[in-house]
Amino acid sequence: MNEQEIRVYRDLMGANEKWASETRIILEAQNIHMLNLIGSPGAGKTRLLERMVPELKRRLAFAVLEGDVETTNDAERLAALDVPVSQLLSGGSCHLEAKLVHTALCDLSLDSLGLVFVENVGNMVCPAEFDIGEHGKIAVLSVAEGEDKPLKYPLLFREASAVVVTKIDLLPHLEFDLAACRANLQAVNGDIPVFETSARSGEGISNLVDWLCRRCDPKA
Amino acid sequence: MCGCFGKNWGALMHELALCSRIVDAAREELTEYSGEALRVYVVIGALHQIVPSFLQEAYRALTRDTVLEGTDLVLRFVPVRVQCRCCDWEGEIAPPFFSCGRCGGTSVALRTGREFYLEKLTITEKESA
Repeated sequence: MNEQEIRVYRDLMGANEKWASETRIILEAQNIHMLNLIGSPGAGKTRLLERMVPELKRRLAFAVLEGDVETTNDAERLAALDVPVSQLLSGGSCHLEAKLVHTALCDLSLDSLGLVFVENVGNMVCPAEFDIGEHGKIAVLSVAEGEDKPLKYPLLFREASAVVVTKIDLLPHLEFDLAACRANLQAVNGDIPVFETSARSGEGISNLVDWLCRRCDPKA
Repeated sequence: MCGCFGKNWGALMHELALCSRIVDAAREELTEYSGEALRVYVVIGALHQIVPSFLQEAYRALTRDTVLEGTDLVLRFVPVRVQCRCCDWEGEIAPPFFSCGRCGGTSVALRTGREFYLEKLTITEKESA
């Protein structure tokens, strides 16, 4: 039996990329910065957003696209703080894809917005693979997890534009080695800014908000 | 999902998401040909955190009852290469450690390792009439 070879060279992320590009066009036109928050379940992504709300609100208009596998609990928490929020249910999928984010973004009132956060589904693997049209990924890592996470999930920490270490108020109760964590982050991504925060005490939140505002408006 | 992966389906989620792209693309390409599919060749950068055996298992499940049932999924992995922003060295590195092989600097740009594409397909050649 003779075989025929068909050369294809087809990008397998092409369909997702198409929607990510459409999203970028809308964001550019409206001059909106979009950031993709990625971290494991329970890393404190929603709590971090809640804690930033008062300070961030004073400085720029922002909205949240809240990704979850199920429930609208996280979206309700943010809506209670008068943050424009749209819920994205991934329907069992462990990550958000560009088309879902694009549709949700189009449902938001974009006038005057400066920043959109997308809180991805809690997971450190799949969300790092899928471009959703964002300008940057923010890796969220809690000190309750382990300082070796950057080495275990190198794609996420390599792709991220910044890392937010959360729950540092718990450090006295844990064996988490913050210096080793910084060294691991440096090994994976030597250029990455690291913000050490506690949503409970408020430590580090202002630094992070400053950085976010500078990203949205480099002249500020 | 329906139990086709037995107990393992949760662990396979990542491979499943990526594999569905392989299967959809290959099936679409095949609509233009009348030959029977034999092998599907995919190139994957080493930065994708893929477990090859899980990807193969996902492939078998997703191709069941399709024109791809019984075909081989052939994977070729591309190593991670970086270029140093300080001394311009370019070479292969072993993730998760992203540093220059010459000066040791950690400011490096990724050159390869993110590939994920359908390279080629083989099919049976059409019998000449």
